[in-house]
Amino acid sequence: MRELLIRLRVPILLAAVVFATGITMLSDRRARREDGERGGWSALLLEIAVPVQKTLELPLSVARHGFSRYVGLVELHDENERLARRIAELEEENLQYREALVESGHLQRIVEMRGEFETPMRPAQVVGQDVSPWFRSVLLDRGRSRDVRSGMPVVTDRGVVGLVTATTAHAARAMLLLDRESAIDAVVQRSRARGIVRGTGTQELEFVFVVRGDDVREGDEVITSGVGGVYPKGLRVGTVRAVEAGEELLLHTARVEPAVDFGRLEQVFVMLRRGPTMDLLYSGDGDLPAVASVEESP
Amino acid sequence: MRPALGLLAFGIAALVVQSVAAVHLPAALVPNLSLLVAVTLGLHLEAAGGLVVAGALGYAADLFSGSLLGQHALLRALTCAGTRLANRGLDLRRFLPLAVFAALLTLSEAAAVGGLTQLFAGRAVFDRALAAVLGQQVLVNALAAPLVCAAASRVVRWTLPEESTRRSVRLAPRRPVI
Repeated sequence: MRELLIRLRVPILLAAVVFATGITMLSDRRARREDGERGGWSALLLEIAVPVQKTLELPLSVARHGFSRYVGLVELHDENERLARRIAELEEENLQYREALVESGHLQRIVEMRGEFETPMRPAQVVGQDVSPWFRSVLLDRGRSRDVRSGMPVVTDRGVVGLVTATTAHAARAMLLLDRESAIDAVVQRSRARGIVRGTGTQELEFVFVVRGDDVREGDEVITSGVGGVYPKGLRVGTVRAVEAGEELLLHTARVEPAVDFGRLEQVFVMLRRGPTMDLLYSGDGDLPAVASVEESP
Repeated sequence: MRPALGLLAFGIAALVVQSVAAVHLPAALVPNLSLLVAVTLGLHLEAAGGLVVAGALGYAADLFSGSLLGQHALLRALTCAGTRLANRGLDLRRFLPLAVFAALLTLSEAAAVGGLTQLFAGRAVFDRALAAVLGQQVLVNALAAPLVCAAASRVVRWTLPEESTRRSVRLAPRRPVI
């Protein structure tokens, strides 16, 4: 018997790996809906990897930007970071105001909006990209110890980056807008045409909208609608580059160039807010609503 | 044991480097180092050890990726097993067979990732736009495979005890003169 086991150890081991990974994939699918917090060995590996990646990233970053960042400009760099954060906050605030003006035309609404919008932001550095070319996510150097939680939106001063999907004490993984699993309820700022912006896995986004006349044009700005409660209203998503008539009469598709340059993503801001949908999604109570992990139209 | 641990450390270091390189380079131009390290595991380690290390490396790759946990672990273990099988018929330590094998593996892995994601997450991963990325990946992985294999060989040589790196000489039994 023992000899038989030794002889068959490789097929048995392979079967065990297939079985174990199958179970892991199934449980991970469920865990993603409940709680994105990583613990145990997974967390330990990321906790070790993030400082190493930050260290490795540094010379590459220096090579990319030249020596301007470190040759006597350290203070200027800090100041720049502070200002960039402030600009990101102000730009989004500004978009909120414009949204409020377009929607209601009442100044009172703007006053209310200001109260709603003042969201603290946590700056974070992108220390790594997804190791698989088929998924689009980034590794951030801020985690639960800095109040970063799964379901929080990630933005830059240019617009929406994505969503935090997993966290450890000092690291977080954010799914980019470009990932095929990502979808945002959005509107065209000019015409208020509404639709869903989906990631395609490439550098472009796809905006699927309901046709009501010529309501989406090349050059239109697409912003978040706030519906679904994941992203606040009025964040910049991208610019329409081409409109394609779909096979269906009611739904058309537009190709959208993201507002954020994902190829040069280094510094981002995590909005320390979680919409009501995300609060339900990541509650981990077990009694979960049957909602997908993406923001959809009601 | 030491070569297995050495290659696991090498694989994890490769993952970290790949993750950082992808920040600065287009994703399609960064070789899939964890896949290539899994190939070297199939070439350098015995079957059971290779499977275990490949599974562990895949699990680490899952943490650095937006994939389902276990997806890369399964694929890396299968890659390692597949490499061992292929190495029986082909000499995968030579440049050309290894490059062609890496190219075919990249295509197979893309199909497997698509299938698994569809099966477990119910969403499609590929479309026409990603076909171009796949084409670039095939080329980049084929070119990088011999380099990764050479680096892994060095790691194995470095981790082996000194006695085992000495080539053993087989002595023919002495024949009687008469």
